[in-house]
Amino acid sequence: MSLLTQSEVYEEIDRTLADQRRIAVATIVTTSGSTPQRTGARLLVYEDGRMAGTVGGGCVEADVWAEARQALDEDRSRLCRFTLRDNPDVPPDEEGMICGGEMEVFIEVWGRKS
Amino acid sequence: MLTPDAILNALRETLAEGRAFTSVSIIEGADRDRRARLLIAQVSGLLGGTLGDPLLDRLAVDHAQALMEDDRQEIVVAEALELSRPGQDASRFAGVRLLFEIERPPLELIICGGGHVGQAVARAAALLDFRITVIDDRAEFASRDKFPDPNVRLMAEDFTSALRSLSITPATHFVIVTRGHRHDEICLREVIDRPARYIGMIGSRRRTTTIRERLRRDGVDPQHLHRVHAPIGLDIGALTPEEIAIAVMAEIVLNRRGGSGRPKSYEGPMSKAR
Repeated sequence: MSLLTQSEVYEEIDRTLADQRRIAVATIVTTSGSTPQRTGARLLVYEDGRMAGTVGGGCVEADVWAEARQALDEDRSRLCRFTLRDNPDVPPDEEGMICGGEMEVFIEVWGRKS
Repeated sequence: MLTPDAILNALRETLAEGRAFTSVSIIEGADRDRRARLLIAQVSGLLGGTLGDPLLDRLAVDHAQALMEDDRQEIVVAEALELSRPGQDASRFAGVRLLFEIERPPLELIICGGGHVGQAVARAAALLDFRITVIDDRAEFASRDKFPDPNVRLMAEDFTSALRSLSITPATHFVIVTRGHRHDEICLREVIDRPARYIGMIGSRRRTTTIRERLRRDGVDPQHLHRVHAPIGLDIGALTPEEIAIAVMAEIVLNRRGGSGRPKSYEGPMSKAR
């Protein structure tokens, strides 16, 4: 999996701000337990809900996307914790390798809210 | 506050010098909404920005330098309090967590010698995304014929002048595999005190020891001699040029990432019930 580099992220922030738009950068900063997610993976989320990059896909990507949109909405950066077993109907052993992990995602908002 | 444009410029300049780059931000604790950033270049130090406190900045710079020396580190979260040393009044940093984001320059590999081993090393290194340069004073060896990969840079010239013209950075790796130990020694002398990440030289134990001794007698710093990997490569019983190339690249990966160099099944295949 090829992750967005810092250069690519700042280039995109720069472009987005130049267009008078805003952007949230979500970065996986820690993981523990068994997760397919990798620290350093980054998801870029725009105000219109479009996104670029990835934090590894799956349900957790949707959760990160939702948090990032909220961060944009509230104009506040934040550190979020996620547990990678968000379907309580499935017993842990049937979710296989992806269950039981935790991760922290730092979401940073760029651009001034009008 | 640093603009993304300013951060990008600092990042690009640092990588162009072959140095790693770290940006530090506060992800928990005080002031995290101020988008505080501290930008640090490997070895040369602080590039700009601040975390809002001179002591915190200093602690972050020191930690970033240590992290950049270890190629396994890419993203690290640290408690500010734990970075302080006894005697420093850092109690105000309780609960502050810092994010260190490290970006490294592209890896460079300079192969001295375009013979069979050099050709195989170029193929193996391409797999690992190295930027490859091949030097040989024989034009028919530093040729597209021998190195068909168009991304490999070729220098058909005298080893000494070629090596002097190249910019050597902490991202540079040298593999010295010329046609004979005389040229190997010429190359080694040229690069031994340059800031390269890795220097390896082919040869038998006896030959490489002789060269080492000669350099020592000529006053080469023992610390520089100590870091030369000669004979080059991990001991995997390699015989063919291709196998030697794998042994060489395996040693380079080991050097970057750390590890024991032992089989992962060292305690015996499946010896431990999981």
